[in-house]
Amino acid sequence: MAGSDRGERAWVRGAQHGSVADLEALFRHHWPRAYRAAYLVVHDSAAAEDIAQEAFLAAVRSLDRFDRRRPFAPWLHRIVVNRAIDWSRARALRREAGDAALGTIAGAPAPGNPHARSLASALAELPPEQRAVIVLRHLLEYTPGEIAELTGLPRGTVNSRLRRGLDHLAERLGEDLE
Amino acid sequence: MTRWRDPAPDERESGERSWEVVRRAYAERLTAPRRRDRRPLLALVAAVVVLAAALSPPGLAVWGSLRDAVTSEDHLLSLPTRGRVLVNAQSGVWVVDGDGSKRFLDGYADASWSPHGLYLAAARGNELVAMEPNGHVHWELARARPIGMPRWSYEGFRIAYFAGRALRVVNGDGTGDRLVSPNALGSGLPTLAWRPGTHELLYTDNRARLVLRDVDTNRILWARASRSTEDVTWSDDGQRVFIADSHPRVLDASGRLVAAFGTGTVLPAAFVPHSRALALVRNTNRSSTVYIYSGPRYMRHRSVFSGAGSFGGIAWSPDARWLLVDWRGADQWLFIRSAAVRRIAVRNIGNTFDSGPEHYASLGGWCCP
Repeated sequence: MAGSDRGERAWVRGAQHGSVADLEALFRHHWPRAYRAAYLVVHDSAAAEDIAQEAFLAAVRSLDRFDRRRPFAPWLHRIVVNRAIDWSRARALRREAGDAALGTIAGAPAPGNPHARSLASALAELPPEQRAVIVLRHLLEYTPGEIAELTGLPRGTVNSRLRRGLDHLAERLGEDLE
Repeated sequence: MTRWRDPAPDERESGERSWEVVRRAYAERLTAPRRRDRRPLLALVAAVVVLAAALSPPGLAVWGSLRDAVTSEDHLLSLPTRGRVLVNAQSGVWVVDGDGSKRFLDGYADASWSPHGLYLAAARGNELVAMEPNGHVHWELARARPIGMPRWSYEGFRIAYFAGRALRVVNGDGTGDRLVSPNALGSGLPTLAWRPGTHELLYTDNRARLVLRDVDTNRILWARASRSTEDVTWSDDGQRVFIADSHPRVLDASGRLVAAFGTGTVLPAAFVPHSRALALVRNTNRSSTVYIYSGPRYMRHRSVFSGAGSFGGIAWSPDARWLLVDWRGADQWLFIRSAAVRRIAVRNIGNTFDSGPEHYASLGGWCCP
């Protein structure tokens, strides 16, 4: 998994010792993927910003406890993906209660962005749990075994969600994503 | 799959906004010492005690089986030999005496022993503090930037420390604070170690170099390239230094190579007291092994202990008879007698130091006879 290199450990250690520059390096290295993962699960840029930001704030709060020998990325991504799933479930409940417009307005996609055109909208048709597994596999590049560990799902469930999700995306986008 | 790599809408702008929020939260964290709230834990302990008392023999059995899982029961009842152990935990520093008694110094971090174990140097936000192990503060020094890694020289006359990215030195009595290097904290990890018997300080600078500097004359004695240095540690005679980086190796006092240990992570490491033999940990296939390397070129080695998961730290007892292994993977401290292999396992270490089952408390040293 990308991001578990020595540079990352150096940033974590520097941040633990009070280096704002190292914290910033850690943030800028991980923000794009964290935000993108959240966005692809929730399909709402404001919510994605909140989710990814809250994950980094959790990291700051837990910085002293963080074991530098463990990779930072899986820990961050676990928070992002779980919160994104929770947010998506909550939004589904709000929609049932007639509050759909909030998410739609906040999530108005920028024209011309490939996510907006195809991938994100195709993903949005999947249940959030399935979206999360696809994002973990193809954006964040975890193996199915690692996804099972991150999400607490059985390996077989991860594989079946991946298969069903990819079949759906291939059908919608007209290409095989694997 | 190039689309996975395309930025999502508002990715960059949201990153800028969020960085400001994260930066402010980080600044508040640095200026606000943390305090532990033990109330939930105490309430839980009280509830379990009442339950166990209400049920006589079966209750005691239940209590026995539950206690490791849900309480902070302390299994560290004594050390196997003389000395005191320092533990840097999440919310403060623990001093463990030989009889197992423990003192918690709330809000301090990164503590280290003075040479004879009479004092500690520790960080508290932007303050460097010298105090007795009972918490009595002798002096404090406030700097503009957060303090890190205070370390005493061999006789206690100097303390080196980081203040933000700057490397500074102060006399052991808190006087004569001065700058050694304005930007010693580069992209690598902050590392520094006094050469025993001298006022020479080995550290990594912001040009990815290992630098040995005499801090009294401010003269650089030698500098060597070293990428991704994670730790440096000297033998007690000051003639050998172990460099933990992408090519772990032992150098002599002039910076010449004595022995190389291939590639890969070989941490933690600690020289045997009063010896040039070196204990180090190798991590392979999700397990860790402690080896002791010896001989002029470190060609001889023997395995001392292997276990699943990682070892967070190792420390020799002052008499060199016991090696303490912080076995994080098993939430245990393991005391290994170095001559005839004998082990004492102390479990539930995470709860003992109030740092949770995946404990993050780190060994700060085992001192002194």
